[in-house]
Amino acid sequence: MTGRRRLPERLVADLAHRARADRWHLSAVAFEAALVRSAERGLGDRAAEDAEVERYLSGLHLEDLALACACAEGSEAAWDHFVSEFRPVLYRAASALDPSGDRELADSLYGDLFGTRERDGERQPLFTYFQGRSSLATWLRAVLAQRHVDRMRAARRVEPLPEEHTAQALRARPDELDPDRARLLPLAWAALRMAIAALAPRDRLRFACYYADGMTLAETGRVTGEHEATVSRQLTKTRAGIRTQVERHLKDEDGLDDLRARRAIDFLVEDAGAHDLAEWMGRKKTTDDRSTAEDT
Amino acid sequence: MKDSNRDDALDPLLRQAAKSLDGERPSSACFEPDELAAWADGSLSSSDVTRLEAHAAACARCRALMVAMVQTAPAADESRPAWWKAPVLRWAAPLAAAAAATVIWVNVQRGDPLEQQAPADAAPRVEEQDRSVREPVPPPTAKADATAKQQAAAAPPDAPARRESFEAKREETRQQVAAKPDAVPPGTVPPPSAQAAQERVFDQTARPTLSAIQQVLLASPDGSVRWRVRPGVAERSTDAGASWEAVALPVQVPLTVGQCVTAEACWLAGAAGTILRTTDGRTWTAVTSPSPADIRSLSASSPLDATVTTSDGRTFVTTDGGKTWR
Repeated sequence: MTGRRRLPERLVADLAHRARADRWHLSAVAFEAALVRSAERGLGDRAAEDAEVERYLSGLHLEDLALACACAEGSEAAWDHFVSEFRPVLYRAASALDPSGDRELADSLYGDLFGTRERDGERQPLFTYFQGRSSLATWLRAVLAQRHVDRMRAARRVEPLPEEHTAQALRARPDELDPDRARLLPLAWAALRMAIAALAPRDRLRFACYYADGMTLAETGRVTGEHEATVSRQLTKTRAGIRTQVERHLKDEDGLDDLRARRAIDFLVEDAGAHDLAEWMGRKKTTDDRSTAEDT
Repeated sequence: MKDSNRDDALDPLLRQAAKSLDGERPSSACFEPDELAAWADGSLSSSDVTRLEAHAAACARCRALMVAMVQTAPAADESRPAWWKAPVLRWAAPLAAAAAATVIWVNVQRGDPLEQQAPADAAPRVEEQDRSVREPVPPPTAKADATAKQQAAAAPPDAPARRESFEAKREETRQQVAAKPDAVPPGTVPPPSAQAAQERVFDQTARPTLSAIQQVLLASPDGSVRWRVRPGVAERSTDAGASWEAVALPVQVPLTVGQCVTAEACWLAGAAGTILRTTDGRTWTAVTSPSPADIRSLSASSPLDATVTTSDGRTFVTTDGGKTWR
């Protein structure tokens, strides 16, 4: 959809009726604007046929959309209803995200929902961003999740850098004097990254949840919508496939023979432990303080 | 070092590699709350889900958002909606009950109710569920009007108990039949009667073939036309399934996904990149395929516009009825 389009009056009236918009005395103009915003967002920039637009709009959570629209318009009745019905939702979600925290995260959201922020002198209620593609409760959880995650990530960025970024930590290991290792290890790392990047989206997401984020099989399954046993089975399959792809890449793309390809993978496996440098440095300090002193 | 040990030894390596592939900063592709919420509610199209998953696979922030949504799901919806809450299935309620009866009958005959199932939901489109990719988890709420299909497709932990109960029931019925003076000898098909029909359900010789179980059910948006498609066979009904008319298909490969966009126009797709289209409800023609890989999902909005996703995760869009894809 390009630009602002007008919807047929019949359609708007029908949707408003299904949305019970009259409860909040929501104007047809305001409701139509919300519908148009949602259609433009959901259907993108392409020119959609009327039937497709109607099908899309009919599938929205219309009652929630009308409530959000009425709240954005400043309807006190709508706002009262929202507070009584959805404040428990927000508090429960905030508690699930941070059991030790107070309700500050949820309470801070209220102001933005109602529109305490202003831009160019106009109130900008967050409700205007609700498109009706999900339930209002789920959308509120998503807004809360976004704030929580961004807050956590911002807090993480101000923590001091770990030791692996110090010059001492970056010094080469003694056995990297092996010329084969120096040549083969970067090839193996590149092959591994390429093999992971080439995974199908679902396989890669599952892989990232489990390995990058350290989720359990069950937690990973909740994100991907799979049973724990399926996650385990698929991860095993993915892992075996990655190893095969790495070997294939080393042989076909990098021209290594069987022996060198296996050596490259051996270097990769050995190198994996060394990349946990804090642990490695800790072991080195406890076992050989003198050599550590000599390194400085 | 043996290969099996090497796989286990690779785990620390894989953790480092996975983290190294995450993007450093949020991008324009990161989830907005609206999109994230639609994902959590299961109301995104399959192509949008694939796109989101592809982005989240390389974005730690968006994965964290997904986790946060799962963490904050209310007790009545503890897990993210699984496959039966996909938009196509939510729209399929009107046909679910009728198809569910077929599924239950067929699966009772097979004795493996959670193995290959006919997709019981339709209208406007149905995708055959790939259990190797998605495993069902228990529905969050047990509604009074839950369909038999949803009950049959319950979580795998129920499967062994259900299999055992079916096996026990089958054996019990065999014994009952054998005890009757006029019992039908084992291995034969009894005469068509109500009791015989019941007994035939448990007769191993009458097990339907896998191809008979796997079928795609489609319905036009207004419900006036229905299709049921099995490998090499398509049937059309214009009287709500009371009667069916065979329609020839130009190919004999398994067709696993499809959608009807009007009473006359439908799309089908399946193995080896096969994509078929009809615009008159009578003649199916094969359109140019964008890929030789199996088609895993299809979404169409008109006789000209369709989106397919292949088994290797690629998505293709056509706006000219399949002549060209991008």
